Amino acid sequence: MSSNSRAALIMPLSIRSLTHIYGAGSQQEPALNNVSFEISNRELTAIVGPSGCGKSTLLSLVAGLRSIQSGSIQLNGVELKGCTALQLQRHRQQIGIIFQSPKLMPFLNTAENVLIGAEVSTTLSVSNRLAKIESLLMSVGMIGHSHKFPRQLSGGQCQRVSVARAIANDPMIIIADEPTASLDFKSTKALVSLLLDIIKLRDIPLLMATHDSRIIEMADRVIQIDDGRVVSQMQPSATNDP
Amino acid sequence: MESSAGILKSLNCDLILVHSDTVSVTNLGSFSDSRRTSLDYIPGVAETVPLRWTYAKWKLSGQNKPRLAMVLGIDLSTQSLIGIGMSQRSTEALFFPETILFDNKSRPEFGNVANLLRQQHDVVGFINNNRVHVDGLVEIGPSFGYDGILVTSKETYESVLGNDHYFADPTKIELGLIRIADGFKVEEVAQSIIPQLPPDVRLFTKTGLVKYEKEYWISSKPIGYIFGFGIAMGFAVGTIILYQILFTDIISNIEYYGVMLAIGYPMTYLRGVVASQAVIMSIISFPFALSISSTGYIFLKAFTSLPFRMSIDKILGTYGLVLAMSILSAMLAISHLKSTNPANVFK
Repeated sequence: MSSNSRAALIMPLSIRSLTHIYGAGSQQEPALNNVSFEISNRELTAIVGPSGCGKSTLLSLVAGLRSIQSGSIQLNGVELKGCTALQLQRHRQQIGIIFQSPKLMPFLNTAENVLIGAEVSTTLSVSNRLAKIESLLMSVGMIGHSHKFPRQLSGGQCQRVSVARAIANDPMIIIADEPTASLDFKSTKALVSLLLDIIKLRDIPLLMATHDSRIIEMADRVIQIDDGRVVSQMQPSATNDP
Repeated sequence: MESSAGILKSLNCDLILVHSDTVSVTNLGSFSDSRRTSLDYIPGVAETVPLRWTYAKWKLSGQNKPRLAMVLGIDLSTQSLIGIGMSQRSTEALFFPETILFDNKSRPEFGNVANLLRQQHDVVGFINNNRVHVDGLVEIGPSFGYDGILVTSKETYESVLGNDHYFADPTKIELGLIRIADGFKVEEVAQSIIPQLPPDVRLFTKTGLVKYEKEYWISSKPIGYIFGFGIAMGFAVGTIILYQILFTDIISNIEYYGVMLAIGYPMTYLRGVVASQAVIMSIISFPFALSISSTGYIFLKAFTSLPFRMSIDKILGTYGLVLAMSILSAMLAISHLKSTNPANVFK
């Protein structure tokens, strides 16, 4: 097999037989049970399911925030199972994370909040910092807001800044945990459109946990989880196509 | 503890001869003046000077309660070596018998002699119930060991302390001050003197005797432990306060520490953030610590008349303590970062 064809077979995110259990002994509580799926670049994959079904556990495992107990997660062919704490920390630098609430540092302005994402693995020179921040803020439509503090921004604007922070370190995947939960319809639509533009432009996948039916309609793939198990995988945009 | 050395530091000499039983200059033994004069011919010795030094009861005329004062008996021909800044007029006054100079920096309980000297021609006091005349002032200042100083000639000293066998004896002295000739090294001359000394005397360099006196107050007197305990208490309380500030800051920002861990910052970076905060706090708090310490010194100096001074080494020492408090408090507070679970950011 040539390296080109081999590279072509490597999925950006491949999850196989992933099982995760909280607690020990009689206190054991399974969170994920034999979960398997793959996602491709430029694809929005929505993880849906009721509260407590295992969505957050799945995201935290993909993000390298927990150690894998059983099964496999491969990001661009690199196995996360068995990684040391240092390897997991380096892995996290390659992930763009968008939280349910923007979690911007209230004592830092927009530019400084974005810089936190940009300088996670490298220290930029002053001129590079300015150029990078300008480019990132432009890409999320927040140019002109660089000196504003989070309290001076709307919820939608804060979430855009958190998107800029997430992509600041050129991640291999974006993980989002119900990022539109506190946004109105207009802001939700704008944010998801922004994220879709970003993943297409950067050729990376987006894994998003959501309850929002509007996002589900826009997703390339929907994976439904219940009680820690994948109960269905759909491609709504494919079925919507004529 | 600088105050413990007192007048010793102002002596214009290089070496000092004391009785071999001396544990502190507050309790000097007498020895034969021949021990001093025998050193006059040793190469490198430029001059030797006797100094009489003891404690005696002092009261001004009209005062009921006597107080213990230090009495210096000086050889008037060589008073420049004593280094207490006596004027020509004061030196001449001491040639009169039963005449003394009063240390104007003595504690107020010794009487306002300066005021009395302005108001009346003859100020009378008593040393061990022997009448003396105060004919001027010197500026020396008290120490831990003495609250007031009286300066007199060697002859008056021996006269007014005549009821004590040792102090009345003109062949005895309490300190032998030695000045080294130009071109000679103090340590080398000291080494050449020491083998020739009989066992009843001991030779110190001036700095060595100052250090010896300080160590006596630090290690043998309760005041040394009290100072040490005060510093330890201040350090402990300061550390706890700084720890509480850092701990509160960590807890109130734990969510953001979690975010930073989640996006890939290592725990060492977060520890660095807390340590940086601690150092910044030490820099910000230092002017306050210094001003509080300096104010404390001003009050202590006013209340005790002791020569407290905020010197450079004390300023650096104060900052060192503040920095050590900050680092220790940061090390304690950093342990709370372990409670940061980045996985919680998805809840």
